[in-house]
Amino acid sequence: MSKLKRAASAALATCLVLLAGCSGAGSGAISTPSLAGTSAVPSGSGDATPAATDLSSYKYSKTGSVVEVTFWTAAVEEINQQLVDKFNETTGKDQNIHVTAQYQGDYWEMQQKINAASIAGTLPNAFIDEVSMTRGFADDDVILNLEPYMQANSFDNSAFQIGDLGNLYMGEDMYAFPHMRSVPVMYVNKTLAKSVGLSEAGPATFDELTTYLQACYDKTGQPPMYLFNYDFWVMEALLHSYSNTNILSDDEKSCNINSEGGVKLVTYLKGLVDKGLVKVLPITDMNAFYATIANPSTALWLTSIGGYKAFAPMASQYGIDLGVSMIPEGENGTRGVPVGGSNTYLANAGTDQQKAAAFIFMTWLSDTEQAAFASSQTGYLPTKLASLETSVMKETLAQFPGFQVAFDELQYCKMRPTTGSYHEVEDLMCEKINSILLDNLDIKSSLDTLAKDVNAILNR
Amino acid sequence: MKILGKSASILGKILISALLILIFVVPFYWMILTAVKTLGEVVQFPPKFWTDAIQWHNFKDAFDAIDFLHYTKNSLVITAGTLLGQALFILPASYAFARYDFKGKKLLFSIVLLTMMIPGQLIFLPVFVMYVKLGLLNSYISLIIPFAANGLAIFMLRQTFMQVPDSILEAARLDNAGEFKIIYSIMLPMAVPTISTLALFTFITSWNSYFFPLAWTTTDAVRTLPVGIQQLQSSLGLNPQVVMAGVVLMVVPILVIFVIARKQIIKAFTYMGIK
Repeated sequence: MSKLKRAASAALATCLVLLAGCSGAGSGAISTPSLAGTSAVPSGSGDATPAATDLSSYKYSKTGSVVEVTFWTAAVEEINQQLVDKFNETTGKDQNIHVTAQYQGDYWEMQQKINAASIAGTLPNAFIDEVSMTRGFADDDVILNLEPYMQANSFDNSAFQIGDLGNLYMGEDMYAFPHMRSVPVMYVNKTLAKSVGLSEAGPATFDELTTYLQACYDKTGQPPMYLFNYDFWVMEALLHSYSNTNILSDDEKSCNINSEGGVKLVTYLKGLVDKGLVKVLPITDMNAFYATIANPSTALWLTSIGGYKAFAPMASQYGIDLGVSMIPEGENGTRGVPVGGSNTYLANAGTDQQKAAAFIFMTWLSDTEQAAFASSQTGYLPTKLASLETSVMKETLAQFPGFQVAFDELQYCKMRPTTGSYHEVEDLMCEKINSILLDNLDIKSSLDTLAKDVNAILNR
Repeated sequence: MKILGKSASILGKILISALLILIFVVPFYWMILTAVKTLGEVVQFPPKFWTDAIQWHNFKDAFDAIDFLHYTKNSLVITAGTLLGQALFILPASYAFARYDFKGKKLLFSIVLLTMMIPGQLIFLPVFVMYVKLGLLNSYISLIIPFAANGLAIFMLRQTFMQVPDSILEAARLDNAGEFKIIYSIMLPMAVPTISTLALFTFITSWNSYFFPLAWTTTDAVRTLPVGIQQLQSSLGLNPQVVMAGVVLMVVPILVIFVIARKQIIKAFTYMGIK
């Protein structure tokens, strides 16, 4: 027996040592990365903008040898690869820069891999990731302040006009370029609306939304709207619009989901669910949500404009004329939509020449023509309004007029949270709010518990 | 009355069997059906349980969108390497734990069992850093070594080896059989059902592995088929029928192996159940 105890103790100790070792490494991943190429960071990089005399190291100078740039991509792989190929054939060829694109999974897998790579010293030179990750990367010195590079290259960033630009900045300094951006919109089944005698533009306010859904339900006997809470981004838009509430406090240390506005919204949604006007789908069932687009009894969908080019022809196959409208406005005309999508980041890795070359690639990628190409191919918004004047975008707008709604909606855009732990917060919120809507939990006390759990993550 | 009761019992068995077949077959049918539908049919509401015209080109589209052969080759190499590694490490380890008494045996076996309780996600980061330092990043070996030993497999095989009567081993030793001969000629034949089952589990786990082949690589050089399939989704956007065609192609080898090894697997479970 004593032998067994000794064995168990030894095993437990081994386990604890292993776990401690792992968690130690993990925490180091976030707070104190040992970066490859740190010594090669140009003087003055980081928080402070360098003096004008130091700027030469931030400017790319072409030499006889080709500078290799590694570019990690996440999502819309084929289009990113096409853009990289085009760069290599044009500007890259002229400037002796060769970019290699390497796919690294979705946005959240990319975040993990970037953190791992920063510790291991294998960061790429540039990468794409979700807009809300800027602060986390900047705090960990994983990405570089772009100000000195912009100064050295006389780069004018005023052309970026994709609504709120907050997710590009840390304080006054720019740390990211926008890549593919999107906003949540309301898709409308115009065919059903017409048959019910409703506005084909959809409901303009939340009061109208209730009567609109009720009228459709009375006609079809089926739920006229589905909520896809995995896309928490939509909930952020509803919070802004219905309750004039931000999901997190300004300092991102606490969440407002249990505030008066949060409770009001969830109560409103629960009312719609209880009346059979909204059906809540399991949080991971993306395909079930997309399937509702071919369902003639579905009246409204709240999701990204990024899916418009795929949704419209799909709906059309089933005789549904798909329209696009803005997210309804709340009392007193409140409306707000988070601007999501991806940024490109300049990684704190490699030689000065590689960093400067990666910046050249980033500027090319964000340029009017490339932004227009990416937008026309995917459905994401171009990151410069100048792109709207290109022929490719004019053709796209003529073919898919709903895009104009997304551009118009940009006037109501809001910045997404920037804290590095936000993805974990989103997952938790999705799960718990779905439980409230499906399991008849007490709304206020459940949201209080949720807020407590979220605050613990935010202040970890 | 007896005949009536017997008939009801047979009917009940048939109904339960039919229900079980439905539970297991319908997901496969749905997967294959989705793979040969059009996008419109996939999202059609209410869903259709057949297709008007089989879309064979979905398979070609999946094949063309990613380097299917490259990913398949990587999956094969990594799966075969893992199976070989397990044969090298697990068989002797299980035999030693089952048939020898040595100092620290219980402690070591406890550690083996503890490895089953540590989630892989917890160790991905330190292992990634270690691979970078060792220069093993983007190599086949990095995706084989961590899975070449397996706590569950050692435990299961140890239990099987322990069931072999001592008298058989003693008889073999009296005939001057060495340890290698005993393992090869006595233990292995008696453990074939267990080994087949473990091999199938390993094959499925390794073949379907997504997280580690993505997490421990930075290029496509050694990435496996599931990573390729995920890339398919990322590249093609909303085309679940093509992604599903890719999944069907990925699942075929598992089905083939299962059909080949099914008798041994059933035997393994029956054998363990009797004991």
